[in-house]
Amino acid sequence: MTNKILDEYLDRLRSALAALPADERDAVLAETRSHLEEAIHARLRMDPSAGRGRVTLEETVAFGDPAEIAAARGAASQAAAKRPRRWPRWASYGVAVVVVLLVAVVAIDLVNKPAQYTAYQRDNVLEAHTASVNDTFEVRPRTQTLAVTIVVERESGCAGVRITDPTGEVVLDQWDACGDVRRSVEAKPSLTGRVGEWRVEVRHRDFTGSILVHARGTLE
Amino acid sequence: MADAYLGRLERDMAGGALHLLLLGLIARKAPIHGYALIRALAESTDGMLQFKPGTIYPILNDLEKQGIVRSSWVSGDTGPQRKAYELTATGREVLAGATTSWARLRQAVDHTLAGGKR
Repeated sequence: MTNKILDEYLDRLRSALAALPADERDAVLAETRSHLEEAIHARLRMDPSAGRGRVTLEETVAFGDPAEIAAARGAASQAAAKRPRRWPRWASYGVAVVVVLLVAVVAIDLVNKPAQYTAYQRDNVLEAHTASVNDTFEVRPRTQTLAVTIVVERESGCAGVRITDPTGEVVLDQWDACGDVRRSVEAKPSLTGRVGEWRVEVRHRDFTGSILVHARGTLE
Repeated sequence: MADAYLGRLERDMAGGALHLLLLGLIARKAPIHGYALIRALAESTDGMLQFKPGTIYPILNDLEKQGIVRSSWVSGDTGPQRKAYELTATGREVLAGATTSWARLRQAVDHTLAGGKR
């Protein structure tokens, strides 16, 4: 069974480890995949009702940030995340675009924790044809870094996500996911002057698919 | 400020013991794959020491490069193959030496914190 979220994570890890020799990189990826598949399987065995997408995202987050893993191996990649040319607006955020839509999003639930803010898809069936969802997460004063990932997989219709900082400035804006089957976006915005409540807005129209928003902060 | 410093201190202490703990667990449970090793580390310390897999695997990789552990791919219960680790002869020597050093260090620290007079 394919797992797109896992595949996306491993693709990011592969890019981060680009400086390693190919055989060493392949060995790392193989072991990482083995670990994550086992962790996901164990979680789903304990809680069969937990969503595979959500569990996968949690386990990849728990495994570690690809850039940090590469740095720990002394293999920080020189390659910046490739910016898709057809979305030039993302270039200014230094975003590696990875959009994965999670199936049938009605609402996104953001949970604020001291070191990690995680958004999960709620398991509701999309009934309305046009809907918007608003949610927030809080960046606390001691937070040093923030990484926000939007993952969208579209089967039909349109969906979009916009994230704004406490000043109202738009940080991520993905309002036009109507054509692509799959998109993902990741950003690590500067937090200077951005402590407080961040806003997540989701819009969808005749949409089937899935949307995941994940915001992860690390404390000093 | 004190909390932040204490947190850093605790992380340093945990980090300092990590290699020894990994070697000790591998010696006891070999052959053991990374996922099980990480879980064993958390369980044997009652959850006190929990490290990200992304931290542990580079250490295992380094230990293998130094000839302290060796690995092999074995079939797993869930299907995918797993990379399992065991100590080499060199690794057993290192573990024995590090265990002695740890005992001496712990004694020295306890002695100092208790007043330090001889």
